[in-house]
Amino acid sequence: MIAEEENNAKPPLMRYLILGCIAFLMLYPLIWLVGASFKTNSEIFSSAGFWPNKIEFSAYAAGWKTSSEYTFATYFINSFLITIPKIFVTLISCVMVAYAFARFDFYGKKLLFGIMVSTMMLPLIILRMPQYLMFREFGWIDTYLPLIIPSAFATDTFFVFMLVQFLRAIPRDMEEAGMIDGCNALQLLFHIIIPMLKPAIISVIVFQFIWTMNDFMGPLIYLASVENYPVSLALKMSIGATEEVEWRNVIAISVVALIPSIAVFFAAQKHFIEGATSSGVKG
Amino acid sequence: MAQVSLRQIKKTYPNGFTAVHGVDLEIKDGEFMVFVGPSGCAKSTLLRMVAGLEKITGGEMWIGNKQVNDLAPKERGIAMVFQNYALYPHMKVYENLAFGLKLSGISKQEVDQRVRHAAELLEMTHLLDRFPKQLSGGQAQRVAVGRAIVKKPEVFLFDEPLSNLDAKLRASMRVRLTDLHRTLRDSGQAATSIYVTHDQVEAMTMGERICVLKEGRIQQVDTPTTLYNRPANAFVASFIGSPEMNLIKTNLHQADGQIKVQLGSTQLALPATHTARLSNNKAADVIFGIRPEHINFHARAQGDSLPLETTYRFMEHMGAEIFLYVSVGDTPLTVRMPAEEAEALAQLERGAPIQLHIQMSACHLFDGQSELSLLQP
Repeated sequence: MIAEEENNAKPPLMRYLILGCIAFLMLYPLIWLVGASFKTNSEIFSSAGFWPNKIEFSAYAAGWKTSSEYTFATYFINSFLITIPKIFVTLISCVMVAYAFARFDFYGKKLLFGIMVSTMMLPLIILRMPQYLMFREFGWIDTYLPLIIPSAFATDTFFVFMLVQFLRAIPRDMEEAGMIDGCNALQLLFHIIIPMLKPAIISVIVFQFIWTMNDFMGPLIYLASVENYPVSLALKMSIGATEEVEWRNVIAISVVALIPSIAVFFAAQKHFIEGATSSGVKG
Repeated sequence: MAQVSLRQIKKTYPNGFTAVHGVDLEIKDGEFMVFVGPSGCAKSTLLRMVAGLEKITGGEMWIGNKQVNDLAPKERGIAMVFQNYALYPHMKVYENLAFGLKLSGISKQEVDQRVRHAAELLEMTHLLDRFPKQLSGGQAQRVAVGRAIVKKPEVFLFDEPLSNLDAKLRASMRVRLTDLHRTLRDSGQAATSIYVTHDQVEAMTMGERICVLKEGRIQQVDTPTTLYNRPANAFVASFIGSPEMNLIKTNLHQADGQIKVQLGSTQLALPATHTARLSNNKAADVIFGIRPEHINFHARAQGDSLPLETTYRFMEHMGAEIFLYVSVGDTPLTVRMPAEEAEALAQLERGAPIQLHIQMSACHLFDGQSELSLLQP
């Protein structure tokens, strides 16, 4: 019996060791990136190791300044000018659409839900051309509107689907109690459902933040002026075709570009995992 | 005035299934009415129709002088206590109690007064700053009851509120709820209550009247005592009472001016009172019913106890009494007797013969086909 218990106690150490090694292997490029940001250009291409021979901080300053007339402060502000409104309209539209699908019966519900789910399978590239033509007609090219407005119409169907699943796990008792307490449909949503949807809502915020910060194709298609470029385009601009690339600067600013997404992820980690696994709230 | 009238209430779902078949029921102002029945009998459906959480597809529902068929729950003057408490997890106990009052536009002062009064009544003033997840089951249930009380409704609705509690807590909460109802009524507050349960012990101990339901139809509505002593049919007879009534399908025989009932190889003569009520009945197939406490080890003094030869199976000790399980042929019987009589049975082995006595004046007879009582006046 005691020997069996001792055998049972052994595997976790081995398990963590193996998992740790695999995690290290997968994370190494990122870890190397951080180390490389303190190296010289020649050392970047000659050494796969993490530690620089000599720690140089100048890449960060030079990368931040850029070779354009704008610093990365402008590009980060632009990224936030796209990301924050987009998150805001995504939350409002997706929560309301998910609430309607999860809690109401209306004519055509199954058909509409099927259409919505099927759009998740469409490659994004198929939508680019028709959308570009439409926004050109609206006169929205070189503005942030094409990047933000579609999200106001719950076109991020992954989030709608995730919220619907989460809503279905919430027992209806609390909403019925709310109805008896005097709530109408919107009051139920605001006072009862949204607070219980917090883990899923935080997941939507985290996902949308990371995806929007990293979005390259959308800004590339719709933004023409450098002053409107977000971080993703500005980074690409740093890798110019006509001049020699200062890789240490590019690497340094790439590290800086990662910080907001990593910070948001870790800040919301507990809620993010619960939302992503759609565990729901037990009444 | 807060009487509740159900007039030919029907519930048919879109797929054609009818859950409630034309129920007629009058619940008096201030009465504690219990809906009881097995799972699937539509007792919760009926309650939810009173609450406005289920659409009424036929008939009329009146609360006081208002027909409420098409009124939203908040307009019906009702408050409900749910089986799973349904407390808002993101609000503290105080906010749970105050939420409905704030929505109705009541002043802050009035809200605070009502919340604290309900908290004192339910001895939960010390819980007002806690979240629901910090409460025990009994505490959560008291908060759910408090949330109903603060609204000062016309009608209280309880949907199996004690079913998630352990047996001991259930017993104490039963007393507390009954006491609360009487207190509210005595203080002049509207206290009409409809209480749904599948537990017939709760029904018998709490209800002033009990409505027994089966498959969406009312079987009998009466006081607990009447339901127990004069069940209208075999279903009510078996459902009410624990252990349940012994029901045996058998035949009646007429001989020598007496009507006898066959139990195993024995024919037992019915008393004159029963015979008189059976004079118009031609049915030979009957269901004989006898409650466990009316089967005795020793004959009772009245002289209407008739002996019955049975076979001993086993017994259960319940403390002050024992439940004895015997059989007559292939028919099992349950007997309830005081624990002191168990001593005489201690040496019995399984399969041993044992003579018992049936109090024939306490027996019931139901029609073999319709299962309706043959002894109702």
